[in-house]
Amino acid sequence: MYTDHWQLGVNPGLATGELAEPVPAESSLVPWRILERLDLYLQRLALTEAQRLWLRTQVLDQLARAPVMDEASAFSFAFAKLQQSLGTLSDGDELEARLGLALGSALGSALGSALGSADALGKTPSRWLREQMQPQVQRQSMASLPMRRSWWALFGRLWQRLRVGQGKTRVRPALSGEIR
Amino acid sequence: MRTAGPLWQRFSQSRRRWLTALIVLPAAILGLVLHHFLVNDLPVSLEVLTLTVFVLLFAWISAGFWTAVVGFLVLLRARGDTVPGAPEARRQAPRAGVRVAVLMPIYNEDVARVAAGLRATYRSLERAGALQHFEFFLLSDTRDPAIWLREELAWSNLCQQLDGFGRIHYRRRPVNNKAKSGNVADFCRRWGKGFEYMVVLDADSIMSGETLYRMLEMMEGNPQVGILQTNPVAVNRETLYARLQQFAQQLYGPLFSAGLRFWQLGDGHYIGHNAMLRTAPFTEFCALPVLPGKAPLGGALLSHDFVEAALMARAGWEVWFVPDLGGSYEEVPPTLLDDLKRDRRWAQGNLQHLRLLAGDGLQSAHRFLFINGAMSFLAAPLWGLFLGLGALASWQMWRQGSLADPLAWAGQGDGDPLPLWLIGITVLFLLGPKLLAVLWIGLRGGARQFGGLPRLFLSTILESVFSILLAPVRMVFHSLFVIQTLRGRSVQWGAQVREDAETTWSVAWQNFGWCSAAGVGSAAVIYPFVGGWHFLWLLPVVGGLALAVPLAALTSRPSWGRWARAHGLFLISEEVRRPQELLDLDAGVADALPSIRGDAFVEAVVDPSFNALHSALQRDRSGLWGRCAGLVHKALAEGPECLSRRERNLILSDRQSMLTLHRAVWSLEDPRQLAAWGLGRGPADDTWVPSEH
Repeated sequence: MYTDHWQLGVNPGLATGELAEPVPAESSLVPWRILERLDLYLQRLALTEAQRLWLRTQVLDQLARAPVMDEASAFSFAFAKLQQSLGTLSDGDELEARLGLALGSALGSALGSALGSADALGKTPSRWLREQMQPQVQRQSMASLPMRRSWWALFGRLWQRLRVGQGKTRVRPALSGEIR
Repeated sequence: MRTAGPLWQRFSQSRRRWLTALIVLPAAILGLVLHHFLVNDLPVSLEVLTLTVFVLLFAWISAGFWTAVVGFLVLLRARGDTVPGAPEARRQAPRAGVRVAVLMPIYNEDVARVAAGLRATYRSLERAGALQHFEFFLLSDTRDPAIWLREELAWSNLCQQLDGFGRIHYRRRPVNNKAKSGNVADFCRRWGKGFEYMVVLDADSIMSGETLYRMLEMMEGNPQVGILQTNPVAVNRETLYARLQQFAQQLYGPLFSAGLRFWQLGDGHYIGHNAMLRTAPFTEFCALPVLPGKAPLGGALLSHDFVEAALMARAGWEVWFVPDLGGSYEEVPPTLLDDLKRDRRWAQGNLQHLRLLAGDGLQSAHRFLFINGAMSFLAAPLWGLFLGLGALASWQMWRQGSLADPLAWAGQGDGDPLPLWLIGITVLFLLGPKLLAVLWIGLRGGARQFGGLPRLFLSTILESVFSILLAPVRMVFHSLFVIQTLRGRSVQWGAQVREDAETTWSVAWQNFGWCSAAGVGSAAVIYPFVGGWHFLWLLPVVGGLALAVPLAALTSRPSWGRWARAHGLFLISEEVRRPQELLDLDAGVADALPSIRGDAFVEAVVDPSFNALHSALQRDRSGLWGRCAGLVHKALAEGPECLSRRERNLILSDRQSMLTLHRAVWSLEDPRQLAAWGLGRGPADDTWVPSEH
C-alpha cells in the first residue's frame, strides 16, 4: 500500500527537469526522455505532491536496479513500473487508482464520501461508477402486438357497429385502478 | 369486466360529429358551386378530377380553420375546456415511492447543449422540491466516437456538478435499431419495470420542474391516463427563419392547441417528446409494429409518436393533450433547408401511417390523425395538381370559346362572380386563424409579450408575407418528398441541426436553384400569355419559387434574426421575460462540458484520467479481442489517423483494448509515433539525452 515517503530523498527539482542536487548514482543511468515522459504522465493525474514524488522514486529506483536494456525496453519497463506503483494506491489495480484520482479530484467531498461508502461495501471505484451510470437492469419484454390491417375487416366492423351499436357509447375494459 | 365509457366520450362524440359536419358540408357545398360553374365547359373526367382535388384540399384547410375558430371560442371563455374527466381536474399528490424516469434520447447531438438542457430541467426540479421522484437517463444512439466520448464526459461532469450520481444515468446502445423509438423501447426493456412513469424529451427539450410535478400529480390522480402531452413552445433560435416559426407558433399555436384539445379530449395525440407516459402500458401495448415490405412504405415505422398514442388508446388508455401547461420548451430547425430535411423524414413516416388506417381496434380520432398527418404532405402535390388542373380547365374553356380569356373565371370576363366567392372563402379559411389569433391577443391584452400592438401587427403582416412566399417552395419540396417516397426512395436517420448554422449562398443555390429557375422560367412563359393583371394572381406562387434561393439564404442569417429582435419584430414572450429554465440553459451551455483539446479519441487513449473514466465504463468484450489486437497494432504503427470511425468504436467499446492502447502509447519510444498521439515534440525537436545504456 501507499505510504508517504516524502523524505525518501528524491529531489523535488526533478519535476521541472532540472537537477538541483546531484542525483543518486543509479538515477543518472535513466535517459532524460524517460524522466520527461514519467513527469508528463504524473502531471496528468490529480496526485498530491507526496504521491507524485513517491511514485517517481519508485520508478527511478526500479529502473536503476534493472539490468541494462535497450532504449525501447527501458520505456516499456519504466511505464510498467509506474503503473505497478500506481496500483499500490488502490489495492494493486492501477485502473482503479487512476479512476479514484480522477473522480476524487474532480468531485471533492461529495464524491469522496460516495466513493468511501462504495469502498465500505467492497465496491471498486469502477464498479461503483458503472452502477451510477446504469442502474441494475430489471429486464422485461416489449414486443409489438398483432394488428390486423385488412380493409375488408374494417368495413365489416364499421357495418357491424352501424347495425348494432348505433347510439351507444364506446365500451372498453376497465383498467386497473381506473376512476370513472 | 366491461364498463360504460368515461363521461368525456359523450362530449367527444358529439363534438367530432360537429367537426365532421363543419368539414364536410362547406366542402360539399363549395364543390357543388364549382360543379355548377364547370359542368358545361369541361369534359367529365377533368371536372371530376378538379372537383375531387378541390373538395379534398378545402376539407383539409377547413379542418384547420374550424379547429382555430373553436380554439378561439374556448380561449375566450377563459376557463379553458372543463369537460368532465379531464386530468387537470383530478390531481393528486404523488405517493412517496413513485419514480419517474426522464429520458433524453440523443443521436450525434451537440453535447454541450444537451447537457445544459438536462441541467436546466434538473435544477428546475430541484427548485420545485420534486427531485426525489425523478431520475434522468441520457440514452445515446451516437455513432460518432468523438461525440460518444464527449457524452461520457458530459455525463460525469453533470453528475459531479449537480451531485447527481445515482440520479443521472447514461447508456449508449451498441446497436441502434429502430432509431429513437427503439432507444426508448430499450429503456423500457431494461429499466421500465422500476419506473411508474417516464417523461420523454428531445435533445433540445427543456421542461420546468413545476410542470413535471403537475403532470405527475395528474397521472397519479388519473390512473386511466396513459399519456399526457404538453404543448412545447419553440424558443431560443436566432435565425430569421426560426424566429418567424417561433413567432407564428406562439401567436397562432394557442388557438389550434385549444381547438385540438376540444375535439380530441381523451383520444389525444403524442408528438414523441415533452410528454409523460405510463411505463407499464406503454411497454405492454406500444411496441411498434413492423410493416410488411421494404422501406420507405414498409419496414420499421419512421415516425413513431402518433402510432404509439394510437396503440395506447387502442388498449383502452387515455391520451390527453394538456396545452394549458406551460414550462415546456423545444427548438425549431434554424433554416428552411434544415426544416425541409426534417420534413423529408416526417413525410415518409406520415405516409407509412396510412398503412395502419385499417388497423383493428384503433380509435377513429387516431385514424383521423393519421390522415391529417399524411395530408400535411399530400396537400402539396394536390395543390400543385389543382393549379395545373385550373390552368388546363381555363385553357379548355378558352379553346371552346366559353371564356373571353383564360383568366376570365377569376371574375374578369363573364360577370359570374361565384368563383370570386370561392377564392374569398378559401382566403378567409387560410388567413382567418391568423386574424382570430391577433384578435384574441388584443382582447386579452397580451400584446405586450409580442412587443406591443403596433409591432404585433407589423410582425403578423411580415410573417404572413414570408409564409405566402415560402408556401410554394414547401409545396414543390413536399411534392418531391411524396414522389420520392412513393417511388421507393427511403431516408437515412440523421442527426438534427440544432444550432444557428447559416445557409451559405452556394448551398442555397445547390438546393433551391432549381426552384428559382422554375419560378423565373414559369413567370417568363406565363406573363406574355396572360398579361399583367392576370399575372398578379399567380405572383405569390411564381414569385415565391423565384425567390427561393435568396429566401433560403437570407432567412438563415442569425444577424437578420437579431436585427428583427432588436427592432421588436417577431418577439415571443420568452424573449420579453425569460423563464428561469432558459436562463439556466444560457448559463449552462458554456460550462456544461469539460473541454477536449483536439481529437477526443486520442485524448481518451492518452489522458490517464479520461482513459480511466472511459475504460471503467466499458466491459471486457473478449469476443472482440482478436480483432481489436490487430487494430491496436495498426493504431500504434500508423497513428490514430489511420483508424476509421468504426474501428475507433470497436477499440473504444472494449475495456482491455483501451487499457492496452493506453499502456502501449505511453511506452512508445519512437518520437514520430509519439507525436501522432500528441505526446513528445516530434522528430524535429527530438532531444534525446544520451544514456549510458
